[in-house]
Amino acid sequence: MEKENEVYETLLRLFSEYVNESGELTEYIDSLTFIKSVVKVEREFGIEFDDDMLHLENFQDMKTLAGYIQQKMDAKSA
Amino acid sequence: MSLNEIQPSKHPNLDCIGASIYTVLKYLNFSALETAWKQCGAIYLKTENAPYGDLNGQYMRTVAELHWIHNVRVEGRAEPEDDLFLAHIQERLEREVPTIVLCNMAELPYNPYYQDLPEMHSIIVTGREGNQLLIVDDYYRYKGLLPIEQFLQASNSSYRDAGTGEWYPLHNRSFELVLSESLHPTPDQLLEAVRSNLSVLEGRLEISQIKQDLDVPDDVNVEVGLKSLDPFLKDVEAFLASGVEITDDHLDILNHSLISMAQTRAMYANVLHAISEKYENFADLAEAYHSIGHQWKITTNMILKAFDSNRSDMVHRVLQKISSIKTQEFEAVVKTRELLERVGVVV
Repeated sequence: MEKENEVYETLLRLFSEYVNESGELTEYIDSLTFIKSVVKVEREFGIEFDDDMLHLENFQDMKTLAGYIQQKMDAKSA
Repeated sequence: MSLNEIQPSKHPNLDCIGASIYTVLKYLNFSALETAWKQCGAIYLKTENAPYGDLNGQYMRTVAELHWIHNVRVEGRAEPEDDLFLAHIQERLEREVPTIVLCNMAELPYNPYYQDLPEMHSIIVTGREGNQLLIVDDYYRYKGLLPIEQFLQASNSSYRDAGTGEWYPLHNRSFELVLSESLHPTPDQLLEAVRSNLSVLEGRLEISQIKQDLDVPDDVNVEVGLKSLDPFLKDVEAFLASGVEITDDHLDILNHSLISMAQTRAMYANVLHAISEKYENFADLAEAYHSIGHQWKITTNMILKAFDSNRSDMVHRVLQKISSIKTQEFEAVVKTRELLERVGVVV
């Protein structure tokens, strides 16, 4: 859980321009900026998103996203 | 609402011109806003020497689409003389009418792609303060003042077409929307859109008709219907197999194709949803097209990712995904035919 919180904090930093205090996406991100952010997140955590995750709808809540990233990181190190 | 109170209302499933039109229609209190975009086809346009062409979900121009069934008229033209162009805008402002202006995105200083992407973009002029115009850019959710000199630099320059890579002059093209004879269609009237879309998706529309409607040059080969996904996939696969380095321009054409497919499906789902208010069996079809639009949107983002991180392997995965979407598209067409026949529409 602690690790997941660290991921969450990092996501809040990476998406600081677009999320509110609760980690919900509130500002509009155009497609190119969205994908640049996706690539940045992948590099930061050393993971690759499943293709079906590449939709803005899956980035609405940073807590849920942190859970997904943590699972990816755990699977990679297992 | 007064003209200068218009705010950007970026619609998630419309391109920049569509989004500008959406905002203006909303300002004009047009009641059938969600169903005005109703075309959902599949055509493949390829010039003889290009490695692959442009797959397009649209088979008619936006002007024709708005007039079709909803009777929304688009009035405007190019005016290369800057003074006359500004006078037209001023005259509209005095009538409290917003002006939609086409411009070169790379000339708009507030834009995130300022100086990078010289592609056609659309903004709305909603006011004037001295030597500045108040503009609304829906796509980038921007509202602010732009010096007239910079505005003209954007409206009277040339842009690069995302599909062909060719450059075209803009010549101050602007237009307004006229709703004096517009309609709020009933579910039965909207069935005409479903019938028409089915004829395109099944490949029954005359190619000569499409060439005429879209003003397609003679050297462009056109294929109509879902079956055109096959040559599109085949051409892209052959191009990848050829070992030629994939450039941003190549990916840009792919991106343009996939966005068009995603947006037309997402908007068509709204039409089907409106029809389901009377014919409830159409609700499942609306869901199916919503999901298909979602899948096309993912392919668009996959291409952008390939673009941004130099991952040509992702293009192969995009092709696999398109093959799977193709199956869903064909199933939706079978379902559409069945539903139309059930409500007595001759297809």
